[in-house]
Amino acid sequence: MKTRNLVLILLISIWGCNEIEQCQLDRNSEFLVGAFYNIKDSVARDTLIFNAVVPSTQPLNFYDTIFFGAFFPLNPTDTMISYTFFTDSMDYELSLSYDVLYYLFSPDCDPSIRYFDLKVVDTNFDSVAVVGDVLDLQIPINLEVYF
Amino acid sequence: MASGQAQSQAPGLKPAADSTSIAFRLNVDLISLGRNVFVPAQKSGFEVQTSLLFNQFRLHFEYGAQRMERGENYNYTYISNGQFLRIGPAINLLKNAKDGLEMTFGLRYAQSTFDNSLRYDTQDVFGSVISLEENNQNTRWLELTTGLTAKIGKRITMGYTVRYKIQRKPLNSDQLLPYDIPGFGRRDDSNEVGFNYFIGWLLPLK
Repeated sequence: MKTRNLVLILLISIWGCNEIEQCQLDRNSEFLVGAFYNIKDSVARDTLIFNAVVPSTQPLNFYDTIFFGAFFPLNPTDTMISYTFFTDSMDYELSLSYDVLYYLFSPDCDPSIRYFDLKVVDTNFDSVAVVGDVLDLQIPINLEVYF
Repeated sequence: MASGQAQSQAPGLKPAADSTSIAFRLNVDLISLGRNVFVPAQKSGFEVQTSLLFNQFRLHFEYGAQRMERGENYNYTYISNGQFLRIGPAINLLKNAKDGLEMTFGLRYAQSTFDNSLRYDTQDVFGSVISLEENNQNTRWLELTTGLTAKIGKRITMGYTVRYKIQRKPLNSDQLLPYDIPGFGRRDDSNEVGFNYFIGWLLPLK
């Protein structure tokens, strides 16, 4: 009887772990990863001080200090977003466009959002390169920003 | 020889003078009906199968409707709602079985047309609530089927069909990829297995 209960608990535990892993297998990311470089020597800027980093649609300040790279959320109900990077000397603008696809990865997880076809629409940074146009957890960097 | 031909006929049929038997059969899927009773909020619908029986050969027309709802305990509601149609031949391999027992192998061409919608409160920094609807999506596939049917009354039969669903046409979508395809199963599975347990009524025509 005890053995049967133990086997039952073990099976339920394995099933429970399985469901958690199922959601973790989803590779889609809700954040694009931007990395910042010095335009003069293409060396990564390891500490950046911004007064604020604000998306155009929301009064949210995501960062005031960025260490080399940062995560920027995209709006799932739109296909464009603009960020303003405020500094003491000047403000930088970065406008991006993207496509969005929704689907259920598993009914036991929140719906999955696939952001893809990421493009730079406008910027006053010296140069911005899209090095990963899909927001995927296995793609370490989406944007390289030079200034 | 004459008795052997009589045994190859559909269940409930009397031997005709020219040894040809033709009948019509209407099946209702009990699993679909059971879901309407036990899990009506999550999965509901029905499925009927009509068959023309010509000696040991069968021609099946099948029609069904299915509604699936997901996300009951989550921040989303996903609904897939549509109809499906199948058509195809089958052959009864038990030519000499007694008591109207049939063992069939067959092929079906199937098609599904459906709508799907998603409402999702992302609870992200933008406060996004997604509300999407994609209508009139359609796809098609093939099914290899096998099944057993037994006579349980003078004109009443009962049995099951196992379906192996293959070669589904890929679905394209602008914004919302479906999860459930009525009549097929999950979109992310290229092959699926289906099961029907049905009760049928037989009408001899010749």
